[in-house]
Amino acid sequence: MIAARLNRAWIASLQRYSLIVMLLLIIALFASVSRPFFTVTNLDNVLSQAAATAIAAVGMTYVIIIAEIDISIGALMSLAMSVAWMVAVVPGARAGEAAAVNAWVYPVGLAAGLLLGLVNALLINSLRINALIATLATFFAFRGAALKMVGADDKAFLPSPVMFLGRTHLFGASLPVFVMIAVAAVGAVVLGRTPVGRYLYAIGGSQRSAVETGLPLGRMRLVAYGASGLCTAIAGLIIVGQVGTLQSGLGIGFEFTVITAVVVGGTSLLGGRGTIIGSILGAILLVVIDNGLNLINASVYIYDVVKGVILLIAVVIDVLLLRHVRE
Amino acid sequence: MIPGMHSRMLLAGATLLGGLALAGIPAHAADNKPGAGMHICISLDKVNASREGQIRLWKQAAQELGVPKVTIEVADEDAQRQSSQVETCLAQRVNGVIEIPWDDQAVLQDIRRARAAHIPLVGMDQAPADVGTIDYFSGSNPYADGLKLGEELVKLVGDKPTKVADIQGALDQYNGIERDKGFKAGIAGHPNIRIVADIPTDWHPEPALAGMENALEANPDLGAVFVASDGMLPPVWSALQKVGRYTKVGAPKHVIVLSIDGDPQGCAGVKSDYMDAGVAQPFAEMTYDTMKMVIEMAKTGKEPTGKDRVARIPGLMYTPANFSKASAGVWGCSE
Amino acid sequence: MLPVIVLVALTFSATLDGYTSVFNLQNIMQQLSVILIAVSGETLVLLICGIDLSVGAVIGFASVCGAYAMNLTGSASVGVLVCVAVGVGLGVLNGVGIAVFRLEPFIMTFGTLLIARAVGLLMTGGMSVGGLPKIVLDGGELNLLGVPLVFIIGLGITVLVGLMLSCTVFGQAIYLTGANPRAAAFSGVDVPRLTFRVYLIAGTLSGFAGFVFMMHLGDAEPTAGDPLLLQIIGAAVLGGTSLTGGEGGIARSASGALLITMLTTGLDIMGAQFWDQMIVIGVLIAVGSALGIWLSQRRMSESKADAGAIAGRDHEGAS
Repeated sequence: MIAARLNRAWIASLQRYSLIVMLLLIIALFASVSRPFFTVTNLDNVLSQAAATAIAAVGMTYVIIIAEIDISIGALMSLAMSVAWMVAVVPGARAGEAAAVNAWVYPVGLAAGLLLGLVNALLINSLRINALIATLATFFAFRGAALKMVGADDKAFLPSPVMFLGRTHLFGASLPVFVMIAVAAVGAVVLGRTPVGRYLYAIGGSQRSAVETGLPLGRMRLVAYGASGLCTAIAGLIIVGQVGTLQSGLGIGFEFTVITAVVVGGTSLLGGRGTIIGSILGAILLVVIDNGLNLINASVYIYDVVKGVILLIAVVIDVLLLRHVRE
Repeated sequence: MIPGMHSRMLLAGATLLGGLALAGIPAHAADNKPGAGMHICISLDKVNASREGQIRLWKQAAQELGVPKVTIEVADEDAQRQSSQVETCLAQRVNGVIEIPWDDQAVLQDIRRARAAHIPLVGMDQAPADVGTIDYFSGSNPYADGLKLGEELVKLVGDKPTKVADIQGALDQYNGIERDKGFKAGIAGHPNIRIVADIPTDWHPEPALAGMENALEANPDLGAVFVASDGMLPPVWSALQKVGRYTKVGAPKHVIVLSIDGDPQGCAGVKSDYMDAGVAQPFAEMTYDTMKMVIEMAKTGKEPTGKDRVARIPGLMYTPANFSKASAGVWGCSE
Repeated sequence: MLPVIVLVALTFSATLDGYTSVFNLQNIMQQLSVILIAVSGETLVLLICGIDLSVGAVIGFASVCGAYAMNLTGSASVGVLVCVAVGVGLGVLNGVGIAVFRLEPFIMTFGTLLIARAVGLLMTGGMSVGGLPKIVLDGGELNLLGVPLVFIIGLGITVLVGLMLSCTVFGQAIYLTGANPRAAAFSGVDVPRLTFRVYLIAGTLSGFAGFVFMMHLGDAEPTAGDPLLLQIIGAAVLGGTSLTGGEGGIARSASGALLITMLTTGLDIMGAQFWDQMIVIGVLIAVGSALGIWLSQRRMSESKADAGAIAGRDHEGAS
């Protein structure tokens, strides 16, 4: 009897920490085959490469916890950055030529991201359509609008404030890593320690009963999609700062990477269950796979196979362990 | 002045001959041009910086040749969409179609349909899988472009042992594959030059940044980087800055940078002495040739024969040393 | 949906030169063929409150496998068999994951998407596969009485699936399960088994759509599904098939596909930039599905009101 209970407790903790265990296993695997994998600078590389995905995953976690989804974030990033570029670019350069971009890029980019996220929520609230449909609609419309506004020329940056976020280093680590930690901390505190977080979880548990018991579904939707838009804008500012250019392909496929990170991190697409730390670890796991395969010079097409298999394994383990705990 | 000027002048000669037939008729100046009254449809695989440059050059060519109406359709990386758009053009009975195919096999179907409709279709930039099936194709010579930069690297480093990062394009496209092959052929036979990282990017800057950072991590003594497209230069600069090696040509810690395209970033890189050599794609010639040829085929109903069916125009090498002379032929410098 | 389609058709044919030309109509029909087959399968999945994200990837992967098989054997029928077999295989994979292991459809089919697409890329090195037997290429170009063969195939399959859905016990069970799985189980539906079969059918249809894709474009592409996935889900949703199960049908999804295809062709003829087209399609998806929901709610409240009125009359009669 006691043995059975201990066993169950052990499985429960295994379920909780299965992702960390998996991450450690994969790191050990790569470290054993690639010497430069396990160094401090490579750690910084991995974390700074994961920062954008991880930050967007924080916002996405909010959306998925209320049992909805946001597939517009790649297009949203492209549009928010295009708006910010238009406002903040120092005029004078010809099309395609590198130009300086001033610090207005930050407030405008963040505001645009937040606003576009709220547009998603308002569409769902006012038109009463499904979240997947609403964000599918904005997926098309946002990218179309971005291209219409700024065209497809590369917008490379001269050294200017736009690169500050992507390229600054503090105490030997990249600034995006600190931003990631800060966003994760704020996201986790709001989710775990405030009424807003409790509402979000409750709504995800059951949207219908949540509305019947008087939970503010419409307002919480604004919070979730607003957070998703804002986090995506931060991620966008990091990416353009890191790569030093704004291209028309920015954000294509980003939604799938971020959703995968969140799901691998143990957040249920059925809503009501999930953590910020899980999503961050999920994003890091994905980058670790890329980074490790990169360092051992693996074939490019293997990447998606590995990611798909890991996604399924992670989810199957999670589901099986969870079932075991409940029984 | 421009290397392609030569072929342009030849074509201008041909135009003159064609124009003679019209010379007797007094008419509005534009009507004397070969493309008067024509509607040309351009079907693109996608839009990006190169396509924007090409579109501008096509519009110039259309103006020079007197084409009043150019329609541009973009398939956004969707083969079915492109086939539909080409059919839409054919259904409108345009005078000719210029296509940059997304799918090098599916374009064969477009060629067949255009032929059935008796409307000329010419290809540009990305060749059909079987280039023998298209009436006219004008493209760069990606293998020769890569080869030139490989040979330039050999000249630059001599016998010095050099580790190289190879930032590749999309490996499912002829241009991406051939540029890479050419570069590798250029350094073959020089065991002191060794490629230590192959980084496929699908032409996107984010994987280029991650890959370059990882390459510098694994090889702190990296000596050179070959970049398959100028679109990936900004992330390369970024990664070099991170390790304090973003320096001018000739500085002690300088990493040799070689890149293909000749877009505004490549032009600026060479102009400012941060990049050692670039190869500019012959967009001006390619766009002019295709526009010219499709007009001619529409007029005469005859397609070019033999060797004239495929133009593989080699790119133009430009370096800090020859920049003042060469820059006029680099599309990213002059637009 | 029908009035919207008629309106769009009338507007375009009145204002656009060549919209109603035989050439353009044939083009629209050819574009529809692959989507019609795939959207039929997707509709069944949506009706039981599932989703199949792997539909496009299965099309691409099946086409690659089918193309290799045909190039090896030179036989088109082997190609059809291989395409369908690949579809069945991946359908079984999805079905087992969702019906037996009770994984969320979104994740399970997303995993299948990643793997099928990546294996296709590995097999081909990312290149498209050509050199197909002549009979396949000719079949793609063939018109019967002016109607493209690929469209006849696509429409035929759509009609078959539609009939199955509306005229069989299986079809009724699908609607019942989507509307209320517990009630369905209570009335004797084996829900896991039904779920498995629906994903199996969807996979099979996608596999076959891979073959029709080859007929239409003359080659196989491992990434063929990238643009198809959102087109297919967009068509179903725009037609009025709901993502929350139980509501919708084959005819509605097919009309959604028709509307999108008519629009993109029309906008192409107009010479609209593709970014403008994206904005139009985005707005259309949002407004169209909102309209669908509003109409169905009105219908429901009307029928409730009717029922109330009838009950009221009966009451009066009794008194």
